[in-house]
Amino acid sequence: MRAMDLSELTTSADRIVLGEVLSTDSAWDAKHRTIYSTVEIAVSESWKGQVPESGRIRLRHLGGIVGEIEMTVYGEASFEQGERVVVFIQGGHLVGMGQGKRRLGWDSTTNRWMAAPWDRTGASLVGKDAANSEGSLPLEMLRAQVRALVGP
Amino acid sequence: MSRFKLLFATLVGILSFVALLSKPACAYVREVTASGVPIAWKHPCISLQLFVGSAPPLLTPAEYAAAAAQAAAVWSYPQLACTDIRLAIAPEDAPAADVGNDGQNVIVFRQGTWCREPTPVNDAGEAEPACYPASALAVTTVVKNSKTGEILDTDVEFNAVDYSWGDLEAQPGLADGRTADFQNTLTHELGHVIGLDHNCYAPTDGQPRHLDNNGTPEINCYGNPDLPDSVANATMYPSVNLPDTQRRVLSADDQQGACDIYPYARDLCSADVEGGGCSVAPPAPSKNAATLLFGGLALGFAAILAWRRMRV
Repeated sequence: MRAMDLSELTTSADRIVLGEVLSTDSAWDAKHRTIYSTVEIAVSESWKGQVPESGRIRLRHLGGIVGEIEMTVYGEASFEQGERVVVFIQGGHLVGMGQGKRRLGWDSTTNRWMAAPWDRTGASLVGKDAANSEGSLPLEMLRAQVRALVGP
Repeated sequence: MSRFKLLFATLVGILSFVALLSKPACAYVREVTASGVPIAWKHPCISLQLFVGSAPPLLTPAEYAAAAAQAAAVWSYPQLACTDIRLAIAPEDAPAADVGNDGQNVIVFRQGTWCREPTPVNDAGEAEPACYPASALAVTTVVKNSKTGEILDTDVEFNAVDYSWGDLEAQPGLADGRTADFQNTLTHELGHVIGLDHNCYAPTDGQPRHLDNNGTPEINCYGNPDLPDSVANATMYPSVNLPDTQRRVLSADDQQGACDIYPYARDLCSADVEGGGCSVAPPAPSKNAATLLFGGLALGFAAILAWRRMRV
């Protein structure tokens, strides 16, 4: 996986939102070959693109668990109900697979939300320094950077 | 030599052997299911179909098949004498199986579109394209039983839409910023195919930190200036340069992973898998173990000689 910087992620996304994961649901395709997961997110902030009146968006990604069968696609993100995320979405899918998801966590030492780097657990990165790049970012900084890239 | 001296020499030899074995243990990380069960194949003879018709432009079909065979061989018996795993590359002229949970393992290059083929259809009967981002060089899919950890199917797809693939060891001049070494990348992906995870931790997304084979939390490879070479140079390290060919060769850690998950026990393949092609000769004695044992005994006899001189 070639690591995409924030500029490329932002440019590639047709929708960037901050929200909370309401549900995840996994199912087989019709031929019972591929497992897809559908993630429903309650949007609290929209940084790029339109959000439906319901205030909820759905995105799909490959992989998931159905019954006892688990399908892992290396590089894809996974979601948990209740987690707060910033997601970069293009056509109902994450931009750059797992690169399009930033999990938010509360930092009790600084009393602010931090945006974790994207989940690189399953992705093999290209570039000698790729493994040493990027740390957590205060949410307000990420918001400001994305909005600056999106423009007025 | 008296019985006592012989006993003393043997004891010293065994203790030396044990001491030599207790050098810093190799570290690797196994892939686990969502419920934390380590994954592995039930039978260690794994066939992977390779569609030579989809060979990337910089490789002939023969070079393509040979590179895949070499990538498979480094993880397999007999090249890796301490393991039972045997990854067999089965070249096919045309695709005989799809990517997905069909019990057929495939290696395929995508050259038209960087998407799953054929396009999956959802339960409503609608085509649902599954395309990958241009930033992904290759995508490995592993299907497993979540409770038992048994691997059921694996497929590896390569992105020849956005990247070129060649033999950069034979032709280093091909490295142009968008050309990668096929054998190097496949060797890494085959580590995932047999159930290995990356060998270090990405403290990024709240994912659980796995334990390595020694029961130690896996090392943090992100922002870690003290990352040991044994981690950074391993095939299962999660970051490489495009022209890298170093991952073609397994590190001691990688080898230990394959041998611990699938230790050489017996010729399971010919007994349990139809189709042949996997029968093997009896295992070669472990060179390392024999060397260490011989060295230990030599130390023991050296000790007894020294002891005799001291008495003189």
